[in-house]
Amino acid sequence: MRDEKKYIKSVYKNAYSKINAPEELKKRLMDIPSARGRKHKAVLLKITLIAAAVLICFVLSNLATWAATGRPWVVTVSDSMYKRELNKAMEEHSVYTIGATWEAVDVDETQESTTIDEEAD
Amino acid sequence: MDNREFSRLIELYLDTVYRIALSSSRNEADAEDIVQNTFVKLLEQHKKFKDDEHAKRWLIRVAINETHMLYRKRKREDVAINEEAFSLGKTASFSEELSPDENELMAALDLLSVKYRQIVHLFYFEGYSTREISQILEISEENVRTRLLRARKQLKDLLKGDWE
Repeated sequence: MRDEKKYIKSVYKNAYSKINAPEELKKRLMDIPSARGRKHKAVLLKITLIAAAVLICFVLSNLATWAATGRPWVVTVSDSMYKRELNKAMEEHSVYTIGATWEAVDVDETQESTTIDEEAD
Repeated sequence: MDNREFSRLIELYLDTVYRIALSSSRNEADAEDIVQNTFVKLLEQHKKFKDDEHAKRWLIRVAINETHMLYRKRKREDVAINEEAFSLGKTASFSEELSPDENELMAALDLLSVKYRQIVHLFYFEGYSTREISQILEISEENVRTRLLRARKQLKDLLKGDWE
């Protein structure tokens, strides 16, 4: 006859105390912080390289545009964007558009001539 | 968590976490995955522990959760869980070291469900009380006692030994 609780406890404890984590697993775990550090550095390096490549492309393309047209493209683009915005604003306020001919502007000539006539009188 | 503290906790509790993982999963490869995920979580979560015992309980809790997640993932992916995958008594590295009694008990434990094996391990090997186990597993103390009682009953039936 044996005591169930004591038997399970002693046999179980004895069996499991013989089990230890493999050394390889321990080494792998110990290496996690440095591996993560290396990975973090690699990601940072990658981002830096991409940013540098974009910057170099930007500078070189502007230099090429400047050599060809006398103006860097970044100025041309921002200038045209500015003009587009200005035209839009002017159209909204019924003012002539930049670059448009005088014929396109809606001017009340009768009103203007009347004023001139009145002044002549 | 700094590297020194991380290494210290590995030195202290690697075997504990590995045994928990092995007793739950009964598969050395799965146990290694569970242990690795547990310690990665320790590194990521920047947890502040009151003392080493607090760290130990946290690690046990995470390892048990990782086991459940692994089982759930296997179920979702419809991967058949190989119930015969691991048996402490049958594993070459341990079988020579175990006595016939130990082999018999380990074979019986293999037939218990994971929730019973975890309770048995925490109670008999780690020496936690039912109250402490209820805190670690976040279940009621009554539930722990019931599971322990059922686990013992199943073991008793499986071992078919002479009991008092």
